[in-house]
Amino acid sequence: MDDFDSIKNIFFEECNELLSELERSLEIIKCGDFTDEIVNAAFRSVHSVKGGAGSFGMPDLVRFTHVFETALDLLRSKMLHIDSGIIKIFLRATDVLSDSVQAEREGVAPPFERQNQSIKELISLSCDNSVDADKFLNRDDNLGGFDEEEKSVSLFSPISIELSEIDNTSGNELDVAFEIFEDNSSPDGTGKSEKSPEKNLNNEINEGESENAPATIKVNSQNNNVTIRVDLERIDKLVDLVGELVIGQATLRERYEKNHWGRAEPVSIENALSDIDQLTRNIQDAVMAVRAQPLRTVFQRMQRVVREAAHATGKSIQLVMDGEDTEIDRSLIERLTDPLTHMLRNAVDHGVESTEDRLKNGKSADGVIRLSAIQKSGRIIITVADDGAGINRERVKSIAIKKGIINSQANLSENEIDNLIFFPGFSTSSTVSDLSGRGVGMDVVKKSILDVGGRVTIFSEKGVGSTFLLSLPLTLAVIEGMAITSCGQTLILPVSCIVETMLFNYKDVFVMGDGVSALSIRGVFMPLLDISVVLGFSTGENFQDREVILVVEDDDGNRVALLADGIDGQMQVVSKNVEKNFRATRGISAATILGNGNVALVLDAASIIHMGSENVCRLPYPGGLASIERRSPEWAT
Amino acid sequence: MSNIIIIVDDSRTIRNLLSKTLYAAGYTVRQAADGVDGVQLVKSLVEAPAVIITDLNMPRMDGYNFISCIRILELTKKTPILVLTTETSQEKKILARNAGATGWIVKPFAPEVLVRAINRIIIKK
Repeated sequence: MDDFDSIKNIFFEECNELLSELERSLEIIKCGDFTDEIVNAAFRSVHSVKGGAGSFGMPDLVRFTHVFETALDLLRSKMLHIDSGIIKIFLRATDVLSDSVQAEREGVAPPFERQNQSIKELISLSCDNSVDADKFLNRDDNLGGFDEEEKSVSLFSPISIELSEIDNTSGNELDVAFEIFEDNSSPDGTGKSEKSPEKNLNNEINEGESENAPATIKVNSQNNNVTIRVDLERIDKLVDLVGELVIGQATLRERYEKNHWGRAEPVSIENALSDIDQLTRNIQDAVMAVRAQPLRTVFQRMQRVVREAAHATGKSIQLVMDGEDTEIDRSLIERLTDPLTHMLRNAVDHGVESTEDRLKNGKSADGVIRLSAIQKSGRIIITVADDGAGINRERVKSIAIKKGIINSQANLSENEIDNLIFFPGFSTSSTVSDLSGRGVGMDVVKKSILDVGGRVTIFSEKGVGSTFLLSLPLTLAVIEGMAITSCGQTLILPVSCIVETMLFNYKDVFVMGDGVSALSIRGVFMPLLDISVVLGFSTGENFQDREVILVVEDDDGNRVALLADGIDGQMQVVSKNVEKNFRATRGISAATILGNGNVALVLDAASIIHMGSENVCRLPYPGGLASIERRSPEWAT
Repeated sequence: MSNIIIIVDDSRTIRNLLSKTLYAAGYTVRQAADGVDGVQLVKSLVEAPAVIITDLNMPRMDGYNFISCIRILELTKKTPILVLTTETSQEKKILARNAGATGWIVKPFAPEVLVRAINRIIIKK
């Protein structure tokens, strides 16, 4: 990749940022409470896209951005009175611009039809009828009909230094500084004599990718160059820490050598070790911070998703966002876009009722969908909440029965019914809509969230709305774990799910028949699970080795008491994917390698709690647990 | 004589394009993303830069204010300042000139032409 391509990549990345900024500004303007700076920021975003597009010879993009920025300039100079219609035109233009940038990036034809439609709308905003819309619509007119001065809009067009021809009438001091240079190289002042550099450059650029080059090559070259922007401060911190690590390592070596060779009394290396311990953790945090990115980038995209979905369904919906600055590992950000898109479309399509129904039920005409993010005990919780009708459980159940997902005799809890919507092939929409009614949505959402170590939970109340909680790990790679032993196996339990630990006392166990036990902790009963039994590596007949109880909790607040032989201590573990290397296993989220080289399995608290609850409250399916598992191993996870 | 060129522009793309071009031509390039950073950068210099190139429309502090700010500094009193902009309106050029700009560059620009022009400006100086 040469410099030109790398700068082009920077341009496309910057475009994404600028488009987010533009969208954010327009949303603020839409709300009515804005400053001139916000309008200016919107203008600047489009203006910068135009500037870059010109530099890289993207005439279609320049043509469109030019019209767009002209319209925004009207807003800036307060020649436009803002109303929802105008904002809609701007938002539509933003969407078109975003697609046009994407088209340039992929090397495919931009959406001319929509561009032209949008250009017409934008030009119609101008009260000044002298602007000839046709001149912007005609693409064949190479330069899109810009003013003479703007004829430089083409790949590296030659007018680069334009020299002052402004009146020299005033004689103030500053004029002295305003030297007048003559562009010797272009005698006619338009730079037309300088065709040669342009040509050369074009040739150079085309060497790498001729116009006929397949678009896939371009796409590949992008994928190989994923870059992130990081605050210099974070890098500096990392460098500082590495510096300290070098010192720490030197200290450790010196002390070790003293002990090894020295005649003097042995010195303790414990301090040096604990220093390095601390440093390693700090470095790890610092490295993770480098990879961390605010969720804003994904969230901003959702504005458009909701806007388009609302438009398609004819509903009036407001998306309220909160916590966009919450940071999450970059790799997770990318993998969140699709599930969130699905969920929001679903919320628009199935969650929020039609305006008539809302008014009938005494609700406001506008539906509200809340998208928020918060960091909570080592995980990121993303909430998608709508104020719609809530899940129609009777309907969900009858569809599930009709589709053979559950038995007609099934006696399910409300929560279990809600979870049916995550079943593959489940779709409650009676007519398949373009938006979310293909029945491929929610199970894909669940799968992709599970894939990144997350969980999805639903809360729904009839007439009030539905809330989807996505609980995601902060990072894919490292977790804070508690090492426990059970039947000679070392297992890791994420610290974030442990509520408390205590010594096991057989007196507190209450056997409830059928081999099901409960533990009384300060008068509160909770299911008692022997971890080795749950995972199936012992029959758990004798309790004598069991010494500790760990109370674990999932995101919904369900608690169980886990019985284990002992606790080895807290440690940070690097998690390795089990599913990829072996297969998806219930109760296990990952594996790791311990300091002694042994492999330990990382437990998935939520699925263990669920596995336990299946044992405790017998499920009403014919054939018991096994029949559910055959249908969907994800059922309970 | 200094071979430092200062670029002040809020667009990363343009900053990168300019710096790569000028760096290849043998200049040392320092960048700032807006007027505020630009003033700070200029104040941190010991030697006057050869040329300052600035955008006009930037967040926090725009190009006009940036130029006015650095024109009163002893160090950059006489440094050529080129305004980098796609805005070609006469009004803006006059505003830029009144603020103390020396000339302007219209985006997009051909790297060779830019380098040649800057070389000329420096020699002239």
